[in-house]
Amino acid sequence: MKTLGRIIIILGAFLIIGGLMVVTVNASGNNAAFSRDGGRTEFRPQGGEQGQFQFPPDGNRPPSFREGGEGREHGGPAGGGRWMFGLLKNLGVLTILVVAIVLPKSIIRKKKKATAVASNAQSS
Amino acid sequence: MANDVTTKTTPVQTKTKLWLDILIFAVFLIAMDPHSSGISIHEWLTLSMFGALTVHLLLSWDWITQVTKRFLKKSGVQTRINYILNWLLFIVGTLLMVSGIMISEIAIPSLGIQLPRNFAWRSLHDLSANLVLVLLGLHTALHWSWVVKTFERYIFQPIGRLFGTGKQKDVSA
Repeated sequence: MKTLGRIIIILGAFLIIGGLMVVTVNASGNNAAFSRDGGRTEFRPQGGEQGQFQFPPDGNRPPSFREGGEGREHGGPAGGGRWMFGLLKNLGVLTILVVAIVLPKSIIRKKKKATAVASNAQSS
Repeated sequence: MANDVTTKTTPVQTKTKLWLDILIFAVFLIAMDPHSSGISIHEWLTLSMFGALTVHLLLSWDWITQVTKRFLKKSGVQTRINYILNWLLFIVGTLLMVSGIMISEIAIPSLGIQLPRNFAWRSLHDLSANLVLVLLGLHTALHWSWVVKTFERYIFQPIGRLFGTGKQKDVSA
């Protein structure tokens, strides 16, 4: 029961924040709705679930980005290379941030420890 | 989530949290590159992550309530920074999920829900994804000592024992 209450609180916070965002975005002037067939910028190849945007007949079918083809929003190397690059880039950003915070913190801690040991030795 | 706040956590909870965090981290890395994973995997994987993130918050509930009560009274600087950063992560993460739902092409339409299209959601989704990456890095950095201790206790030591090289050293969480 306690857990259920906590889940409801988390969901409530999510819904409140999410609802506020929806209201803000809808109320803002940036309502440049885009058509499904025209100015879309999604990385998915054109091909809908409701059959509104069918692929051309088989021979002219553009390769799907899932097949490692050209149907991507952004270019770049396809297949494994592309996957590795994205993964390594994000891992790199995370590593830099962690090192940038953890390293100075540990240096400061070590310095504090050394100062404390030195002052203890002096007083005794 | 140590610092100046002490919470009672059982080894089972710590272990669960560790594996859950590893799962969230791996899924986040996959989800950050939808061009490679495919839009379908990207959408369903991230939607299912909502459950994992809820469990992550439930496992940290004691820390959240303790710091919320003590935030203005007697909390350390690092705890306050941590608390604010966690709220930021929650807000930006919510923006990432909501914008993802609003521009969903497979998951949400397959549930029979048609949402109005708005170009702003696309930019917000990209922006919030980059922000979450930065905030996740900071979140990991602030919990680095917990990560190291828990990895040592529940992953490295058991592996060491498995190969007979472990020294049965106990590291408190």
